[in-house]
Amino acid sequence: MADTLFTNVRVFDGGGEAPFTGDVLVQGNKISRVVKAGFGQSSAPVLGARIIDGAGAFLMPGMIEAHTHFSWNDQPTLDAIQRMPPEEHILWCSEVAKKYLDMGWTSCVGAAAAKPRLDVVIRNAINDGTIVGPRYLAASQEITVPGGLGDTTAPHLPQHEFAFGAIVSGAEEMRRCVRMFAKYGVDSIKINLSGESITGMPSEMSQFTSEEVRVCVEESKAWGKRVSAHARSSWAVKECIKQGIEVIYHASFTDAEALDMLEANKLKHHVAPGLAWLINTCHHASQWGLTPEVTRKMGYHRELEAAIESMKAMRRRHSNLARGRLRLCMDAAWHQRERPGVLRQVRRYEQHGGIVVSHCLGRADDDDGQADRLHSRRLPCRHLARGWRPARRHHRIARQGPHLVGDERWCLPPRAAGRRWPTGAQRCTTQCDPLELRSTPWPQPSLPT
Amino acid sequence: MAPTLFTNVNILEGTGVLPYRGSVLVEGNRIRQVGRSTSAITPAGATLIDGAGATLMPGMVEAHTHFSWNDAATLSGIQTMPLEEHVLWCAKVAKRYLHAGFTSCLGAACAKPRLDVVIRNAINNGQIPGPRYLAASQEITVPGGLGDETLPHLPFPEFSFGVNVNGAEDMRKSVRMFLKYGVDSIKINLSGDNFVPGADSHTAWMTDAEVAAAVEEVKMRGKRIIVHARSKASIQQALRHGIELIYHASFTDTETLDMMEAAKERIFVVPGIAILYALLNESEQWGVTREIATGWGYQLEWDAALDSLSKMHKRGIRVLPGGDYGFAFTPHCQNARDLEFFVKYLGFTPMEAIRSTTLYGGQIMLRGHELGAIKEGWLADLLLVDGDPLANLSILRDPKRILAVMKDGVFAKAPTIASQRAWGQAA
Repeated sequence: MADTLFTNVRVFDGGGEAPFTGDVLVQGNKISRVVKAGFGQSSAPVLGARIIDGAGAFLMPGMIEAHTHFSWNDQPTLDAIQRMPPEEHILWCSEVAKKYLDMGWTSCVGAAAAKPRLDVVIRNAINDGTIVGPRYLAASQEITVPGGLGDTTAPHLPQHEFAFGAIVSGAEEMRRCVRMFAKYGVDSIKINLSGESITGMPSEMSQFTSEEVRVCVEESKAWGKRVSAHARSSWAVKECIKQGIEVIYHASFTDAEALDMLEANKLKHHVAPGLAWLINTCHHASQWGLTPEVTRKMGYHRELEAAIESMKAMRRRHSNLARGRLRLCMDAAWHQRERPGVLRQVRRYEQHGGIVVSHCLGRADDDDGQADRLHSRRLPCRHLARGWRPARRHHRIARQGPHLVGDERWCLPPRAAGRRWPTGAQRCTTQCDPLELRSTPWPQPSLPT
Repeated sequence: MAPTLFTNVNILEGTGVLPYRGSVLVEGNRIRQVGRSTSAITPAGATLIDGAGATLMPGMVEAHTHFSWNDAATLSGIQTMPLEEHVLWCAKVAKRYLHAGFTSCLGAACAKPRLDVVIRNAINNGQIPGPRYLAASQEITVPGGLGDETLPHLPFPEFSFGVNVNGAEDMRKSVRMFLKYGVDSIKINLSGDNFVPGADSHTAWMTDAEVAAAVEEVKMRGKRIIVHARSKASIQQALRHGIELIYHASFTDTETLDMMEAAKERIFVVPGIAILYALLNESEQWGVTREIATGWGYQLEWDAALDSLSKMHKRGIRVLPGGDYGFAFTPHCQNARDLEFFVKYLGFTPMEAIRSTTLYGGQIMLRGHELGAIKEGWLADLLLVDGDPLANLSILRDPKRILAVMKDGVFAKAPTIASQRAWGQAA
């Protein structure tokens, strides 16, 4: 593979420093040189390197999606996801993996698959070059309890093939289930510790006994696997910390005790809230019958507010820390509804010469979805973003692996458009500096009421 | 979509006409104009491809394709690949066939019930690149026959490469299941194969009642039957039941050939002789020496097949290349080698060999009126080949010599000229 030299780019190193103009040399799969350029100074030639003149474009680390469901297939219900036959499902996953990479996500953390082996197979196929996709950590199905989130069996159709998740009851069944997924080769075990209002089980409700959770973690650790949890309720968040579940998804409802526990264990855990799901369900799901009235009754508006408060509280605790941080990531679970539209949008941007679509970083909020509906409308992190300086937000995205799926894309400069990026290098460029958007006055965002 | 004009190309129509220098205009998914002028007027907005004397010929048709054979040495090795991996394998292979110049493939059987159907659908809806494809069922066989890979202590159908049926009603049920899944053809094994203990190439094991039930169901739904028929008895059985697609046809006698000739307007023979050749000559590294293969009966079959197939060709029966690529000793995408075998061993001229994969290929794909030749109004499935295939057929299996592949008016493999013209990024 020829070396690649990016010249004349605004380098954002992902560490929170202000971007600077310079050159970046990629040799093999490593970044071997980052140089600040002086004014009017031309870059040193490199023998045999392919040169990409960025013309001032933004070069940043590839983004990391911390809560990815390749196998969610843009359907409105769990059952509809589950009904896709396995052959079609694996092709779907393969197609989606490529899309993620094309959109700038060079790494994804699998958060659960809809059938036992989908994630593992996709990870292996990416790694052996059969298909194209981000670096990937494969998850199990969601492990749940009878009647819990992910049990989509019907009373007259009790076969486990009808279930979206893997249903267990009792510690030894849990052990068997974890062992099965470990055998299949997952990187992490997903357990549903709380409900999800849309399924009829409120998000504040919890499931599983502590003993079952303990066995899940014990068995996962024995096989060297990480555990991630769907944990919307306060009990579920606390259970994650007590039992050593490293990856906490959602964490909408946190009481003071939960926040204290999180802060005390801040280096052990990652939080990926997946706010897009809450925001879209509350405000952008009417065409699926989920009007704001309906979702308010379900409790999603209350949950969104609680989640925002929780995330802000986590961030505050972060800023007060002298060392370390409470790692806060974002996810794009259930962004299914916008994906096709976003892709269309991206295509349009590409046709118009690769204009940047980086509004998530400093763009105005528009809760009514009227202005600028094409990109800032569904920004999963926009609420979260308030009060964060762009560089800091950017820093989080690049360094900690949060997500912004769909609503933006780091477009390639026109000359490079259509050319694959050296994926090993994990860099993407944009046509202008997303951080400069801070010069745009930020309208005061208003929360949905 | 912009029209594409190929100029300065040697046009090999695929119909048997000698090649001539000229230009071909493609508009949409059809060939709009074929002319002998090398300075044809380029329509506004057209992409101009100056072939510089390269050969432009119809895309090849693989008449006996097993995407799901995974280059393993045994049926069991194919069968034990898990479902998810198997689908991804098929998707990858489909793309490779297209890039190798096969713009159409006729599925000959798949290793799990829905693989072929799913791949065909994914190609048709644009999810994956691949040739035009007709999806087959698994091989339907009988217990102990070719394709029954169950073991006495593991009798589960999931362990079987093919589907085992017993009796006409069992056959009907199995055929209906595959028709429900959406196959284009049902594959039935009427004879064995020499590598199967106790079911060699001379066997014929299905009852007429079983075959009749399959034929009845398939005809009712307007689909086709493909048979694996190596023995004389199995070929005759297929002909008696009006089955059109006969694979292998190694052992024949005058009576069988007469029956075939009488039906030559509707039948196709796709022998797949590469595997016979490979087992005899090129399989030592998988433990199959020439002695072993001869002991199994492959030398006998090779001799018989060359004799039978040459006679069929002389009698005007359509014999098509392709088949049984996807084993360890016959890896995928070397399929064009069959053309060379046809010339060397079956008495084909190079032109006849090419016609069998183009013009006859279009016919076996059920599109004989619009696929398989460079004619005005026909579908734009085209290959741009560096060199003259009539002088050297082996260039058709050299990826570097396949300069471009167009399927349905769209480049699956675009000529490299355009990218060379692009601004270089020299250091």
